[in-house]
Amino acid sequence: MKRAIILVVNGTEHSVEVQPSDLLVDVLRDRLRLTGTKKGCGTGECGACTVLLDGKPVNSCLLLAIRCEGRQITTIEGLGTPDSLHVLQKAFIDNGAVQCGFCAPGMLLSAKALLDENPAPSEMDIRQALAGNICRCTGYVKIVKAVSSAARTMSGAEGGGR
Amino acid sequence: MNGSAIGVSRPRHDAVLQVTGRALYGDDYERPGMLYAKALRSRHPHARILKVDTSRALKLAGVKAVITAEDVPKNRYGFTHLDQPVLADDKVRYMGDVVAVVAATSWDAATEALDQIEVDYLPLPAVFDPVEAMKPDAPKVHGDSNIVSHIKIRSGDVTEGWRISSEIVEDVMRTQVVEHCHIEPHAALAELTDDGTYVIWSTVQRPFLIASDLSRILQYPMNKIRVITPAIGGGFGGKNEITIEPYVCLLAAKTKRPVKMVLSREEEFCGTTVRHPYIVKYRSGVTKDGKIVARQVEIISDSGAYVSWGESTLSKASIHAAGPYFIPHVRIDGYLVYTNNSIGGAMRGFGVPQVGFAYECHMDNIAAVIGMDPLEFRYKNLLTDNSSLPTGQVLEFVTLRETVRKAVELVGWKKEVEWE
Amino acid sequence: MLPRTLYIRPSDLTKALEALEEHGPGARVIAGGTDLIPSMRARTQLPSCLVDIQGLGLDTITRTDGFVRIGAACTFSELARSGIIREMFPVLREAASAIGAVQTRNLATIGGNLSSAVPSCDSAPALYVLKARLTLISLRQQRAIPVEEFFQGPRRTVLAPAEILAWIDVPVPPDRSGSAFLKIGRRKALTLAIVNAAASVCLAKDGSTVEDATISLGAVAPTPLRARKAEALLKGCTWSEELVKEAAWVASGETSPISDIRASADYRRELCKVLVRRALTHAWKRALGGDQR
Repeated sequence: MKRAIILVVNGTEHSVEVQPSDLLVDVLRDRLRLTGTKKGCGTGECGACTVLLDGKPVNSCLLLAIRCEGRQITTIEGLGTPDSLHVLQKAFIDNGAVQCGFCAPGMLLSAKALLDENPAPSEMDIRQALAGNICRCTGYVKIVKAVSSAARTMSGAEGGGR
Repeated sequence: MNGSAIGVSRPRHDAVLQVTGRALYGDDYERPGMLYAKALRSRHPHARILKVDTSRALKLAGVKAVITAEDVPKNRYGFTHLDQPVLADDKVRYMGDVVAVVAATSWDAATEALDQIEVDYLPLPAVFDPVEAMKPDAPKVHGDSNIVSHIKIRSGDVTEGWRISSEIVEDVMRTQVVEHCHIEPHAALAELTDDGTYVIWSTVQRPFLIASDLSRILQYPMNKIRVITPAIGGGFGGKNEITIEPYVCLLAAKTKRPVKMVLSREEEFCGTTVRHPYIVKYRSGVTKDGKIVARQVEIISDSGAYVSWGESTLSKASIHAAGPYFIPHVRIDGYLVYTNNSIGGAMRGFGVPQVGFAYECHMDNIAAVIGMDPLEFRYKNLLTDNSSLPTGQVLEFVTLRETVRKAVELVGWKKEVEWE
Repeated sequence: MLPRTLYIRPSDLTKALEALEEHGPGARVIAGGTDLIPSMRARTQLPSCLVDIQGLGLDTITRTDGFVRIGAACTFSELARSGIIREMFPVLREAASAIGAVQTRNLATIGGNLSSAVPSCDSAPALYVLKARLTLISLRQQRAIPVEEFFQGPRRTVLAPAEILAWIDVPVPPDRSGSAFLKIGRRKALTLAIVNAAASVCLAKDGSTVEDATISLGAVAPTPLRARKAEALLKGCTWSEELVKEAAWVASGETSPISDIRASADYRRELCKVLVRRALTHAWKRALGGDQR
């Protein structure tokens, strides 16, 4: 019972054939080869597979791809590139917020959604926004610092946040 | 780079790739014509395997191969003890033991095939408590005793120590199982090239150890085994030894196609190593002025079904078991015990966190019994230059006292500490 | 890797009900999917067909005369964000914000949370103390029931095959009333409740006599429950700290918790006392108008 659907990922339309039971995370990784979205638990606990659906963070391991037709999906590949880093990505590097890096894509997308909605978050706002993303290496302190510093950069630099 | 690196934060050289999602981790690799492998694990904590029938699974669409114990050239591995089968043969000894592995053209086909593999088990009595397992009449996990090793450290004469003590304090502490929970699950992809080289992309922390283990398991020259470690999504000791690499190699050889395997989070919990739970008994004798003169320690480490790094972690724990304190009379006994639990393996600190937790709790209890400030009590007994450890090692350049003083100052433990 | 299934996206509610009817007992409604998808992955639920109820107009929050109607497909993020909820039912906002993490709340729906009927369901205690009514719809009938009559046991509800929980009507609370929700889990986020509790207090005109009080507890019985003995104890009495303590003690006695991986039964009973006392106190402050948050 395959069905052809159009997925809009990072602004680009992709036509893919999916089974109704195909999860968004698998379609992104295995079919579109967007492997920046990570798979840590498959049960919506770790947040490594976080993508933005119409700007809001969701666990792509809990989402049937077929339900995402016509919606805007943003993955880590759509946030910034090595040549043109998003302010958050630069802040993660500068603040040492990345160790093994496996949680980073999901963490960054959750942070992006937070800053889009709340440009001046408190530490508690940041911690709550990132509560669905588990990191086993850093202890979160530097991640919170990075998000906070990115928020300051973005508000100081007049729309410099891409 | 100029000047010292100390005290300076330097960005990781691969951080740009990590934050942009470009860094490639184990499961991000693929090869043309790749197959997908799934493991069938034991249904019992302890059982004899009477029969494994894979014929029905092999008939399913998409299934290319199923391997069982018969397919493994040398079906035993382990760092100190060759006690662990790659694929269970005579028995299953814990719920994580793998009985068969399927390679198929999709994850779905491989998963569905698992249901079609028939295994006849004869359930055996199981043992889950290491203290029970040490008893002579306990069910045996391997051979005729569950006690794998007994590590002894002797220094001075504890009988003399008890005689000169004014107080003797005893404690028993237990630590729990801990799974590493690296966010990236184990993944491995193997390909047998035309010139007969196995190329393996694996999330393992120690490529050369894996290559030598694979060489023995596959009975294949080590120079024809190439292990590539991509970016690793956390290890903490949990990726310190082979897990799924033999399966993908065996299946790649059998199918002549690249084969990938990735563990589920559930398999990470039930089928990979954990931090050993310890039962630690302390008995210490102290003099009236707060000097520890004797300490006896018994450590019981639950190895689970196989040894893995159990003996190494236990010896490290035993060496550290007296704590950073000078004690003239010491007796340490460490026991590594088989049970039908998850396998204890390497994890950050390698046995030391277990005893560290135990001896520091014990130190607090002793301080309370003799009515001394816990800090002053510790300070009085700290190792110094030229102190000898229970192992006989004589220490040099010991800065423990300075470190403690600085910590006290920074923490603001007390305004006035009467340093000895 | 999910088991194969059919998927139907109906264009309206009637078509959804027809699809459920047509595909029989194997058909399941999918709303947020945050409970259903992991269950399918674990193969504890194997639906032959999924009927999507997103986009059928069941995701609105509307204020009507005397009550607020919440569509069952409203996500917890939408509830937490809603001005109407914030203003009128802070207890529901607290419960909505306590569920999962941001990612979960962006998908999970209030109808799904209720229909999955786990004893630790966070939205139920809040809806209990708000005396909400649920509307259940099938092709044959439409019925409205008090939320307390919805649950029959762990993962069991009164929903008949091919019947959908469509919306939730929450009456506007009377003057001089307030309510609050509290939850303790093993972590602060992404966790199931060890115990969750909600309470509401309605004061008489004198500002100190308790005219009405409701207390609800979750994760301490096969279904969320009302602590009716404790409520009765409060009614008609003058508010005092001692009274609240006693009510909390009585409420704890009305539970039948189990020991599990999250906590022991004894710990849960103790936690009930603490959470009920705090929830009542918070609700009382709100009833006094001292804390509108």
